[in-house]
Amino acid sequence: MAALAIAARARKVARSLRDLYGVADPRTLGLARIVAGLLLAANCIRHWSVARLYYSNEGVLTNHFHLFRPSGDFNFSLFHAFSSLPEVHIAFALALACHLLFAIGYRARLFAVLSSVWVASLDNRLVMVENGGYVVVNLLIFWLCFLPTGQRFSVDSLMRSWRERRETSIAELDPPLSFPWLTEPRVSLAAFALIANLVVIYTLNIVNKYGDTWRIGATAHYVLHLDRMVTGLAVFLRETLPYPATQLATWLVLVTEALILVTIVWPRRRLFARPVAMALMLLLHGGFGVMMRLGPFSWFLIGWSTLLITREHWEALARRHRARTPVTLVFLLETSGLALAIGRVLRRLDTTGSLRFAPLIGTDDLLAARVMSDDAQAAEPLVGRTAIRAIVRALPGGAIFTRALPALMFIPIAALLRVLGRHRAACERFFGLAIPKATLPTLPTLATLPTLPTLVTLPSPAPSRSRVTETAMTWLGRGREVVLGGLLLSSLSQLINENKSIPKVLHHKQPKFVRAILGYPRLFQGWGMFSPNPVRQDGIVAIDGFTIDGRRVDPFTGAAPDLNLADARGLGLGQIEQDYFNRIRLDRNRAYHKPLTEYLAHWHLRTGNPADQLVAFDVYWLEDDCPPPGSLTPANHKTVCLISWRKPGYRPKGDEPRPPAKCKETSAGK
Amino acid sequence: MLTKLRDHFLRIDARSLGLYRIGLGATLLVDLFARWRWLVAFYSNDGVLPNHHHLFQLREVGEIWSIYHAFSSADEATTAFILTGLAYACFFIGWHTRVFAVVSAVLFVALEGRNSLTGDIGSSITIALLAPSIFLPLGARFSIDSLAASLGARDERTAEDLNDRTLPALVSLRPSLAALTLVITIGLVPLSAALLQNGATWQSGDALYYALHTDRWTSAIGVWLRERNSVLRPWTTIFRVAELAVLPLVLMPVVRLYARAIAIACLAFIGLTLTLLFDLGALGPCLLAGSAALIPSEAWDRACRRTRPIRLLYDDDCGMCLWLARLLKRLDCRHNVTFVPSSLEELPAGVDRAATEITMIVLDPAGRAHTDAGALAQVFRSLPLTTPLGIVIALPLVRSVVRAAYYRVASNRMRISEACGLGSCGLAARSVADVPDRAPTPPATRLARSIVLALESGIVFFLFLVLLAPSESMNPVTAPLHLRDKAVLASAARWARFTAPWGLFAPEPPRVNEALVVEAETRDGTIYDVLSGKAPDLDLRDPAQHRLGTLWSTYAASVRNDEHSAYRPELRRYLMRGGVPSDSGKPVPNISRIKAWWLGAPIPAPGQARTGEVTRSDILDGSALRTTTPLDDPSRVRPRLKPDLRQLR
Repeated sequence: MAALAIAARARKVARSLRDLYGVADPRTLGLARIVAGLLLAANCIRHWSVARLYYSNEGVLTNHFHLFRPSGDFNFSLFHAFSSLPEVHIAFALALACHLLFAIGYRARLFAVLSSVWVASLDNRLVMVENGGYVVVNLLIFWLCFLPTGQRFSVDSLMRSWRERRETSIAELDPPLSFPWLTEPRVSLAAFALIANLVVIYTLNIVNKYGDTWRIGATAHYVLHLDRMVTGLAVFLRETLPYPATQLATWLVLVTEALILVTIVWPRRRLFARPVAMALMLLLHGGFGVMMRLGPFSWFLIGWSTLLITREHWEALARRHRARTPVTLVFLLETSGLALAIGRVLRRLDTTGSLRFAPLIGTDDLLAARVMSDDAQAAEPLVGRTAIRAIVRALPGGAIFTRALPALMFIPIAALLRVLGRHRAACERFFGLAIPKATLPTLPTLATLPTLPTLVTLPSPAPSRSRVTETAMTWLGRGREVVLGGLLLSSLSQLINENKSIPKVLHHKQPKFVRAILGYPRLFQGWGMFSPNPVRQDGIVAIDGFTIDGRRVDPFTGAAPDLNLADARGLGLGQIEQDYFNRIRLDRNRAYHKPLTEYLAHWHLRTGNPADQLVAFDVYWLEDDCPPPGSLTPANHKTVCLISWRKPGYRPKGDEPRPPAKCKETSAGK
Repeated sequence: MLTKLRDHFLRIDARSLGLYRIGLGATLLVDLFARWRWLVAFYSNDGVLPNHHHLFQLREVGEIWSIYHAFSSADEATTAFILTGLAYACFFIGWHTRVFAVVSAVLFVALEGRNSLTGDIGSSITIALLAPSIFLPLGARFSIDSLAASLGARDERTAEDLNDRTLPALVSLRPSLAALTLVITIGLVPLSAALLQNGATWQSGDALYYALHTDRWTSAIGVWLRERNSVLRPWTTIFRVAELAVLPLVLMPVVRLYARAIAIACLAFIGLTLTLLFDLGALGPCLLAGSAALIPSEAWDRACRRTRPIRLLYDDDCGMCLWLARLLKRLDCRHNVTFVPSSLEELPAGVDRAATEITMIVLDPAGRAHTDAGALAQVFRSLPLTTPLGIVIALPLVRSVVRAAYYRVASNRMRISEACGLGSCGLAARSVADVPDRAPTPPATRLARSIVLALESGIVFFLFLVLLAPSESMNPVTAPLHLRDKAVLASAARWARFTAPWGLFAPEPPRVNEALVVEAETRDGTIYDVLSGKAPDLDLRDPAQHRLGTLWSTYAASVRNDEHSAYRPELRRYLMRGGVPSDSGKPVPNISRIKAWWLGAPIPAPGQARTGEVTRSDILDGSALRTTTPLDDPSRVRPRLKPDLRQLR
């Protein structure tokens, strides 16, 4: 009996855990898809802007060299198949198209998978610039592949509803859409993985920050003095804020991270807890994002936070919208197929049922509106731009538009509708729009408005799937969950092995297939930004190039080499540049010095100016220690020679300047 | 008259296109499996050309793109091949045909681009056929797409609906430039080859004899046939005549049915000759597939005449039965089957009403009633291409097995119907509301289609010029056009991997039998050929040992040329690792010394004994040293083959 009671209790706990953390609302997934898709597109454009230097064979790492010396055991990238700059442009265009199609939700599942492949490919093509942000991107899109992100707010869902309910009269427009799939939540381990991964990220980010700089509150000070990654705002702050303020900022970061963690997992009052978590994430990562060039980390975690929205939030928002927005009666020209088509679109945009529809008779206008306030008799019928404004305002989120956009913005739309209305017969013929069936005589018109018309009840849509299909789908779903279970276990194994704060006794050897599963899409789980302590050394790569006509130039800047880091007030480097510089210096990346050398030796071919040919260059790692707390001056400046190259067989002719002597190559870090 | 001419040149029957798609899809699949055999050697970094080395060699040249360059290890290449196979299979069955036609074409070009030394005429012709095919409605018939479209377009509920064969005719397709391009390409390939085949052996009729004596591309049947000169001489003559005849016959606008029939026969003869006697990759199957596209509508109409009318009594209360009847209606292009509902008040003579409750009944042309397996056999005998199946089912033992299976399904048909969502126990007759409106195509759609057609025609025209440009120097038909001078066309042709000349065995087949033989010496002194796993055949006496397929044949012929010497170090590495026997991952003996001999033995004139010397040069030795060995030299030391190496074969 006791065993049965325990089992029943365990089942109950599992059920409540599933309901708390393993359910995704289709609206949440739709919103997350839009945000993730747009962020992926922005990230793709960011990398595209440096395609020549970092992703093509005209740059610092050719595809053949990277295939010859791959960065790891499981290194696969579609970008390896694209060599020249035009080819790489095509690859980026394809990747961008996939991300945008994913964002708008056209064949969302297919383009989620393709986006995931492109994202992992981008990461694998230049692993040297990978940071925690890249892994966040990989994980977010990877887990989203297993969820029905196209079920709401997507082209797919619009097409589906268009197909499943073919309104043929204005009366049929009236009842709001009631397909079960509109609100049916998805219970899946993928939904759990998305929340669990977020929890893991924050937990380990807190646990791993056990260093003394965090304890004494000096982290913000040191981080703000990392010239290679700070923005102008950070430079301004470090020069103006007193040290106690940066101390406070350090501790605030720790507290915020802890609060985010607690508010995410808090099982009660989620209606309030989750928005608090989202707001804190926005503040924390927004702050990081505007002060530091960390790549996608901050922005994708803000995007990830949209997955914290639950069903209750959507329902509360809908309730609020209904309470604040009076029902708007939309009159559509009874004899127009074009008006019916407009009505069908509006019906699908109106997810809260704030719009009602009625026929419009005896006018040339395609539509009119009447806001049904308490004093319905007093409400004036609206036409033209005011009608459109009222309709937009009644739609979810429409109030923001109407507030943000001046009323004049609706004039062109009204003009367009007027023109279409005047030529509606030709339009309907051209687009093959069917004339709506006659409406019921009891329906009101613009001229006679007693009260809201009675809702016509439509027969509920018949189940479209047979039992065999349902069974097949169920088994497919179970298969998917089994695969997800395996992936979660693999991620757990990775989590244990990769984090220093996990006891060593738990570390273990992973089978090859687990390493492959996690390695190809780069689903790593090592979390510890600026932990246990932030880096206290700042650094940059500088090239002292000597051209054939005797000029000194740094090909990365195009200007004379600046070997003095001490006077830097932010280096203005992008994340890709600063991470490449920071990693190429390391001994473990010495193999990649060869393609860098080749790039520099052929730099004049890129500029198209023969006088730019380098006959000698030295690649330096410039390093200094961040200023100690209370000071603004960096110390201990070092110049480490990484590569020293002289053109083989080059002898200056006549008065041509002679290249300087070679410097001695040394190590700048393991 | 003009309409007839337009239809002749710019239209291909949808059924011909459907059959052509099946043939082309099968060719792609067969080609992929042939490549799969050498996946490690040619498509992975453990083979003769790792991706990084290939890309490095192409760094200045460019104009080759292959997605397979992204796949490094054998496991990764296997994954790529599985995905490729899936894409080809979707094209083959006609599922999302247009999408998978494009994907298949891109993947085929990419496969060719992965190793630029293995391009052959078969691949070039396949690309030439795939390019215009993308713009043709290959999925309009004999495809999943067409079946789904047909089932969706008309939802038959009654026997009357089933017997109404006035379905919208899918055979009527819009005229398109792609159709003309495809037909001309199919005819131009053999014609160009024939015009280039002007050597002495083609005049004397010995060309096939010589061609079949090159061991590396001759099949086992070819080896068996090559000494039968009395057969080969007329074969050679017919082969060349057939090559010359195809294009004029295809373009002939009069007596179309017979002209096309002869053209198809000629093309089939050429295709079968190249498939059965030679191992030239996709060339033969591709021409065979191409012949299907030449079948005129008249031939289909003749083939679809009613031949064996039967009446089928089906349970009209059963959803599954109705669905199967709908499927059968679509397979029965000859309209042989007349559907009769079992609920009919007056059943045909000789039919027992009780029997209709438990089985379907077929009344054959003589009016005899057949039940269960017998009925199934009758149905198959009346459908096109399934007559043998009907005969097999009628065999005593098979019949009893099929009958048992039939009753198993029939007794559960209501349950199956319900489970599949097909309805049972009194299917609702179709109401007027169920009939989908057949609205005329709106002008917007027509305009969009016209724009797409115009764009497609432009692209097809460009592609056609691209296909002609590189072959111009070897192609007397298109030489006056001077297309080769157009840099854009030449560049596009290189990107599309359409680089091999169209001249097969032109101006005449080689008179020297050349092959690559590798002499590898292991640490313990054993010598064996790491390509065949056998003792090196330095005398070129064993044709089977040199029959490694078209990939090895073209690769070996390319890598021996000094212009490709940069690719030899990777070949050496591959051979030193153990060559072909090591591809399977089995341990192989350590090799201490290796020689890759390019051997050449003169082919004796027909009817004469083999004489002369075997010339050889070590292609791995950059000095291009040539040594000769007299044939049948008794002083030659035969290489020693250790017994355990036999396991490597």
